[in-house]
Amino acid sequence: MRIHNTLLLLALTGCDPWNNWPPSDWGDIDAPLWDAGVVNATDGTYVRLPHARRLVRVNPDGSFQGVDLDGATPHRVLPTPDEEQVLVFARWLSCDDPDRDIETPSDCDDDDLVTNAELVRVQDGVSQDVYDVPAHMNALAWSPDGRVAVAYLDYEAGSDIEIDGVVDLTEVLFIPLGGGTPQAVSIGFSPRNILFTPDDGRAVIMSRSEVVVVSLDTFEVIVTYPLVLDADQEVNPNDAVLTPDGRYALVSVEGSSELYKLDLQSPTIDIEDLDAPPSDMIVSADDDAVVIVYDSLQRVDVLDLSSFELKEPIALDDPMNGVLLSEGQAFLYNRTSSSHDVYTLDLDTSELVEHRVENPVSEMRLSPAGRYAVGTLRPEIGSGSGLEQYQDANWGLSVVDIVEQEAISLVLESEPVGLALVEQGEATYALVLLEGRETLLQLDLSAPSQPIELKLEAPPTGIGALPDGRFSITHEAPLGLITFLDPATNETTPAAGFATLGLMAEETLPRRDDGEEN
Amino acid sequence: MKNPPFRMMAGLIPLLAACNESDLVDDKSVSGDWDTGSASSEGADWDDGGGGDGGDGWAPEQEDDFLSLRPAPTDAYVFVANPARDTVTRISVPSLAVITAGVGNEPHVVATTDDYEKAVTFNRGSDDVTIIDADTLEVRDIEVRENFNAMEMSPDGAWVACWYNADAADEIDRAAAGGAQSFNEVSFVRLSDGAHFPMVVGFNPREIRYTADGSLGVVVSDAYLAVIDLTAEVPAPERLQIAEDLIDPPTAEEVLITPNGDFALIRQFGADELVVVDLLSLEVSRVETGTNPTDLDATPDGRQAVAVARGSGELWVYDLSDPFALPDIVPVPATEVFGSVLMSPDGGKGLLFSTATGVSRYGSWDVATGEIDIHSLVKPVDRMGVSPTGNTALIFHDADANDDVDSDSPFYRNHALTLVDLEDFFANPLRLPAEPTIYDTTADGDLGFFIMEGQPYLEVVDFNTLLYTEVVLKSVPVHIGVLPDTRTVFASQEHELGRLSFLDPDSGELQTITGFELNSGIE
Repeated sequence: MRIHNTLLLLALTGCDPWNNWPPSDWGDIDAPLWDAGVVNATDGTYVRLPHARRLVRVNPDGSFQGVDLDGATPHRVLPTPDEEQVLVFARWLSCDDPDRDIETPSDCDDDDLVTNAELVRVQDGVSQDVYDVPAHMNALAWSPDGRVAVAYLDYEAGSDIEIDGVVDLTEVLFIPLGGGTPQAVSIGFSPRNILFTPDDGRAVIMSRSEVVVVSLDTFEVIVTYPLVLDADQEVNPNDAVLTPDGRYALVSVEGSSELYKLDLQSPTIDIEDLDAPPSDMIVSADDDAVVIVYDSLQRVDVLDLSSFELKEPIALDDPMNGVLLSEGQAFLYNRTSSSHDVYTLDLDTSELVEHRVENPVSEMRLSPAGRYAVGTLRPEIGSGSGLEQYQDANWGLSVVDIVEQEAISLVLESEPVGLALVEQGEATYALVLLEGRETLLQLDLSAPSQPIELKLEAPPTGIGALPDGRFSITHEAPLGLITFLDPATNETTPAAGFATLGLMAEETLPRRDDGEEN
Repeated sequence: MKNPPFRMMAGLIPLLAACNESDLVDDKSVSGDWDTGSASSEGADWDDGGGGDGGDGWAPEQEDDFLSLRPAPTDAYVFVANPARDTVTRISVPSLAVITAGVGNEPHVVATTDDYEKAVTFNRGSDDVTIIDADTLEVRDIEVRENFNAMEMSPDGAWVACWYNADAADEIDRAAAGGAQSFNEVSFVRLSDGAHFPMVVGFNPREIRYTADGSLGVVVSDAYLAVIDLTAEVPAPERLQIAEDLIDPPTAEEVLITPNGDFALIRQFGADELVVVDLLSLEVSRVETGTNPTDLDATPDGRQAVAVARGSGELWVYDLSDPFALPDIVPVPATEVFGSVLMSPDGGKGLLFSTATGVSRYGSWDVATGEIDIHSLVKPVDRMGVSPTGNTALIFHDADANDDVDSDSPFYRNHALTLVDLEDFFANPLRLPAEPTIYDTTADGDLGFFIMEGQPYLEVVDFNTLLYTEVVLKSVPVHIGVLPDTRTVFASQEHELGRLSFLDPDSGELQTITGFELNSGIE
């Protein structure tokens, strides 16, 4: 990106970057100034500024403020379950050399440069607490009451994994957000997939060949369940759910058709035999059942949790690998195959209704009340001709009315870059953003063929919901642009230029007392 | 009958605590076994010593299934050995809670003591026994002599004896062991303190029996009977020569102990006498028994012993209170050759058959009248069992026994099971896909269960209707048993982490638990 400083002048109100500007009139910045993966919270929308190594809070009224992280660079921002605050994985550099002349990282010998990691709790744009966390940890799980956060390494998401010295890959960190000392607990190799019992009393953590239950009061390991007999064997938990009463954890493992049933009350293990490795499973508390679908089987299974017996399998035309749960209904789809089928399954009567969408599913979600399943459809190489071929070649949007059992597929002009579902009164709307198109499409899902178009200031890149019901729409705008939309009035408020915050600031070594090693 | 009706001795209890036959079920032994005729040296590595046919032209009667993995029950638990996983599984009854305990390598036999306080495994892979506290599952391993494959517990649960039983040997047993190997040894282990007493008893031990009070153990080998005083501080064998010809002795195959513990009766293949040993004086005597006795069984009430003299076609019935009294002799019809007898639980009937002749017939012996009726079968007999009430016989037929089977028969070259109503001898033969391996029955005698080699089925047989029901299991069953004081049958199945299914035959509900081996690793 090339930025002419005269253009910046309008945006950089309140800043004095000129002392740091390069001698020529031009500076080159290769990386984006802001991360469009914004995080919405009650008090605003938090945005990472990778170049400036800053975090900024953007407010729905269009204003913005930097968040003081004491010189630390935000690497990942996650909202708390109640969205009242955000937690920020942040890192900062220190230099072991106490030389007073060392002010920037480049002044410090590489051998003396140390990366420090911490987790910062931010509320109302202000850092509230700072917790030391191992640098490699990059993910959080929350107890349902938001009282405890568990930090761990999500290797799958780990492009920014920082290894500094010794790393314990078996470790997770329990962080009591209401006060108290974080506590590291050794779980097992590659801990992931953390569940919490409904009483908020225990965390159930999967790791390679083991499942560990940890008390959320003492952070002590209560019980460890082995998944293999022989230490030379390895099984990797793939998916896990808790039964509604919190007594059992059901754990599937990679490449296996066996479903481990861990009794959390009276520690024992049982294994349910499925006919293939499950690709997705979801618990219905109302029906006391688990719905299980398979990538490799053309059927859906329902595990009755009162007896832990599989009901009579229900045949499908195509395998499904995704399940959503509406009231009394499971919605089945396949997000990876070329199938055009989606299904609704009545969990009470086992009645299955097949719907056909015109292109393969890319993404599927349910409206908040569960009446509609709305999916984005990806193009495919069609075998037909004419209009059918045209439809195949384009992105699409499908709307399935689960109550009326009707489905409709729409053709989209370009790839959808954002989809949000909102309910107002009796109506349910889909807000759709398309790549390269400066409009927001608002579809009444009861009549989705007649969208309302709202003009946007720039091509959008994504949409997210704020806790107050408004939406934040990010745009292709190098210096930062978010449009806040009130769906009740369709009023929009832009917030622009926030990515220029700290743009010209040179990286210095923070928290460095004069003449002392930090 | 050549002799007057049998003399009965009241108040005697069968002492065959270790007897395997399902028609001799006592309150502990619920798992089924069947009578395959008398023991023989078939499968042993050495000459049977008794001649090829015992002089009657027929091969020895076959005994080919020892069910070493038969589960062992207590009043509250059932213990199942898992040789592939070096564990024993304890199933609580009636909760069906399952937990495992690690034992030695390859547990091969499991037994429980009469007081239900201990379970004991003989571990073939590690040459030891594991004494398990039934409640706490605490274990204690006791080394025994090497290369054994059998274990017998005394009726009072005070002792176990381990030895090499050539008749029960499989390929693992027969594989050459490194170093010296003896075929004369027995290890006695006192369970109270784990004391081990190895001893030499005679070549090729055949059977080990105990007196009812557990004070004496006897080991019959080819040519000797070893009598061990188990009350001694250091038990040692008193070896008695039972074969007059030590150069080529007739092979001793079976031993019975009289209910009062005074005498041991020993049957030798190809002999025409039974050896009677006075266990008090240790005097060895002989009584006549017809030609080539091939089976010797006690009647269910323990008062009599029946020897099948196959060579002379007779049944010799002895009064066990006085083995020297003149026996009753029942002639077998001249057209038939029977080598084995299986008594009904009430002692009123005996089923006569042969596994050696390849003839598709069996005889029913009415003990009261002495009459023997002949009945035809779809195939020759391989093994035979009787339901606990004595109403139904289960006759198993081998796929390879087809000498007198029509090639058009649906049973030709197939395994089969014939259910016989012993009231009218009506038969319902069933063709089976594989060889049955284990059967068991409910204590009330209504139902039988069996499993087959490599087949994922649990077969349920209604002894009243002679109908069967097939239950599909999740994997191949290894052994089955009826839980104490219930009609629920369990089937332990192949699964590396352990699998048990419980079938309630009344409701048809099948409950399966898998992976319980992991429970012992829960911390």
